[in-house]
Amino acid sequence: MKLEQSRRDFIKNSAVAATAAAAGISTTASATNLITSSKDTDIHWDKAPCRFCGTGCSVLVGTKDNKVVATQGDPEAPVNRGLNCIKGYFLSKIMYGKDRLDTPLLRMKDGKFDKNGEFAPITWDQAFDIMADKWKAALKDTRNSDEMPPVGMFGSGQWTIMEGYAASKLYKAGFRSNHIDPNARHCMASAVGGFMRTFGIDEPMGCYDDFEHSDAFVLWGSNMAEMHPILWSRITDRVLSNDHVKVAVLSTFKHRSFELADNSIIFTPQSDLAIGNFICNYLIQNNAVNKEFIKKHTHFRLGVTDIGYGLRPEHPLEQKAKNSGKGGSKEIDFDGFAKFVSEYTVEKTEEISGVPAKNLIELAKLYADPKRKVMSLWTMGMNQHTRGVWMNNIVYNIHLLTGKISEPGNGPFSLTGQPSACGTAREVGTFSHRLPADMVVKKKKHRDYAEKIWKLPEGTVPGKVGYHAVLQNRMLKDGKLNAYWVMCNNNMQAAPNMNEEGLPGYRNPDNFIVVSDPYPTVTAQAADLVLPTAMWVEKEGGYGNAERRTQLWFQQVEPHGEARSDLWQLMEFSKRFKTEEVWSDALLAKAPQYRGKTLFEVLFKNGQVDKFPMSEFKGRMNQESEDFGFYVHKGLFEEYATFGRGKAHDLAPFDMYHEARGLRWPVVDGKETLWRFREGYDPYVKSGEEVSFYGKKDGKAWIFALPYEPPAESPDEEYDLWLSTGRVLEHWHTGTMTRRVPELYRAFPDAVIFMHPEDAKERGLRRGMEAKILSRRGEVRSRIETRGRNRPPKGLVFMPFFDAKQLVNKLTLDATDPLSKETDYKKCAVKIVKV
Amino acid sequence: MRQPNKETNDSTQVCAISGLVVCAMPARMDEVAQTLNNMPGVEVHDRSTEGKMVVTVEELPGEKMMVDRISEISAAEGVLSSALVYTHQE
Repeated sequence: MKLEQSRRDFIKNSAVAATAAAAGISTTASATNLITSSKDTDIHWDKAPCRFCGTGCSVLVGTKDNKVVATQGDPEAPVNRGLNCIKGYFLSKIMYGKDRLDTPLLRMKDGKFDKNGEFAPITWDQAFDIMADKWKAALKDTRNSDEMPPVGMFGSGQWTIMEGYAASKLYKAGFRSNHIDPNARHCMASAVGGFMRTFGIDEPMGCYDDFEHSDAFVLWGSNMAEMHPILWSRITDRVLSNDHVKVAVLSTFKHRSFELADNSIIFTPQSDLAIGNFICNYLIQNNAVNKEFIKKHTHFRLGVTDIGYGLRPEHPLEQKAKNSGKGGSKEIDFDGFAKFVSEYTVEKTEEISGVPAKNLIELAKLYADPKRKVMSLWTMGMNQHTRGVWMNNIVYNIHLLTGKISEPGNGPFSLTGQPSACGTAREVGTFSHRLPADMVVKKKKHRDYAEKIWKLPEGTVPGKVGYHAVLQNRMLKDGKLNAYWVMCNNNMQAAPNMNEEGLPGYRNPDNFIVVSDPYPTVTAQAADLVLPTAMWVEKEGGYGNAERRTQLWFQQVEPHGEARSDLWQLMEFSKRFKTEEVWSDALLAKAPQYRGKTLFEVLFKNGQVDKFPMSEFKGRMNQESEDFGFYVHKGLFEEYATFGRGKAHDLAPFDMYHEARGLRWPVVDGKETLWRFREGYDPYVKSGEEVSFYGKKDGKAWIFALPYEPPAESPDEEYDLWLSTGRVLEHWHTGTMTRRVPELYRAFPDAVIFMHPEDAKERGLRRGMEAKILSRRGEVRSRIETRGRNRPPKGLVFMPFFDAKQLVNKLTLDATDPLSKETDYKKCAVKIVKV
Repeated sequence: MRQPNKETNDSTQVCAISGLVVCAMPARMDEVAQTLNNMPGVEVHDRSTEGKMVVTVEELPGEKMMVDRISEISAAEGVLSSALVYTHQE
């Protein structure tokens, strides 16, 4: 056999063998062993979680000559069982885009920094020099005051656990600024708010094993078929092999997931609030409430209403709101709750939502049937909502009223869109109000606890909540946030209302903006300094997925060019600061031993983070650890894990994660927890308690009475269409990675605007024609699509946000949920005209 | 701002092969397998009685049709789902 042919056949046989194994089919192919165990190949295989969404599929990564050449769905992974979605195909390509950045770049004129200069390559030393100058200038004025310094950071749910932890520690304890927030604010802050408000503890009680136990799936604003295809394949398997299993899909437009739906529900934007309340009312009217469960395990609360829309305080809508930003509630009883929801009759709900009574009743019956196990699933349709926390609360109400929660097949399940929105953003607490393990900066007890673990003097961490995502852009524009670092996200393309807030903020001459990214994104191009970043398996890391599963991986190739991981950048930068340049004299007086020390020494060479020598490292390469001289990843992970151990957030010992395909916390005595809050499954529930929502002091969850309130902006005579934005299967978020895969330009090259054919016709438009989409804030051009995967009803248009040439965030409104501060990307008013 | 990287230029690619599990209604498997086999570079290898098929997609150097073809397979009449298992390019 010729060499090339044998190589090709060998690869093909390997592909067949691996695919057959994943499908559970015996194969006739000659290579019956998986390529991963073959000696005939020079490819090195190792596991890593997928770089994309929050599902947390495990992937076997094949490297050769310091390059990723192959990937395979990990057959040993419980999440994906050997399967991947199309994005798995991109994994081996995302690091090799032609415009990958290899050196730091600074805007310069005549050899010096100039905000209006052109980008020119500089060294890492030069980059940190100018950054340190700008940070020190910003820190100086507030150092001895109670005010937090105007230094900030915008991080990510794609940061590894160690990176998020190091960043949070550097900002909150090092710079003493809580102005750090992750892009996860845009995607699941409302889910966090909902969990904390109802249960007092974050993240889903159930797990993916629920898919194989459930008798009904209700999608409340999630297109799982396109956004979570591997989980969708598990639901499809369950539905096709069990006739009694039902699927209800709710959305404001028809999408791919409707193909599997028994009950297809298109509702008017914002009216999910009314539908949820109608279901609660239906359950009460039809005697379907689990009375024993609610008596033992719940309280009823009446929530504060008329809470505004998270806009700037001078906005007329905020001026008008009686309780702008308030999240309070007072105790009521079951009868009070029943009376509250009684106004959501089927007639009234049909009127508000536009959903036929028949479909509403059919939906309510799924929950009402005591024999049917129900899983409710949602992502951005429910979270990116000016009443997102309320809507999360209302879905919990339904599950609590029926007791369908915390047991196999029964439960509300909030899905995530980023690989470590749970593991890093939520669990590490990289939000402007949080600390690890669900603790918050506002509570003195929590700050004391953090300072004790960090061996820092009392009072180091500021007690005030910092600027959240949307507020950071407003404060940049207003000149109140001056030294700003954006890491591992593309916020200029993702954040709402780019024209009026984002861009003026970055280009404000008072500010110095640093962006760390592998590619020249829209955000990088709006920056003053760009730092090239190592990505995915160019570094060691850990992610936490939507079902509380923590997964670690080893570095498998050298970083591209001079690119360095976010972790290295953060730790190396901390060497530039002496404590007396950053901390107040009063704080230093409490800890004179830290005088003269750098932040690196105080935060990372503290006897804990540097506790593990390189001899404990079991992988092949580790750039940061070799550079700093100790096993950085293990040290950071173990210090971080002390926050949650014994507090129902227990993580296993670090080394266990390099062996296992992830473990779901709390991991107690080496055992993971599949269903929380129920005796027999959760080690934190005591014998005889049956169910305990232990996040609340008395173990009882809160059922909230919350009304329908209108959205911030609705179509009117001039701007006569709803605009909803989101993702498509082929591209991930802003396309930073997926748009580097050359063949994708053919598969889905440019964004389009999906609209109803009659809406198009009324405006003199046809499929494929270019049109202008205008809102009160800006305009973009796109092409009309009246067919294909998304079919909006009349009156609504949908546009994906991956395309940097068609920035849909020029149109969107920066209205947020006043409680979670998460933007509503699903509703604003636009008009569309021919060009 | 563009920093081209010479070593990883795509023209050096010699072959790309992907393996997929494609699921169809069992009654329609023959018809779906035929459709798939007629697509350039696509081959159906093995099947199960429950409707699962082992499919490979091959791409010749410079073709850049892998994503198109995978999308085409998932959109083909009678296909219920398709999942990628294995990818290799060198």
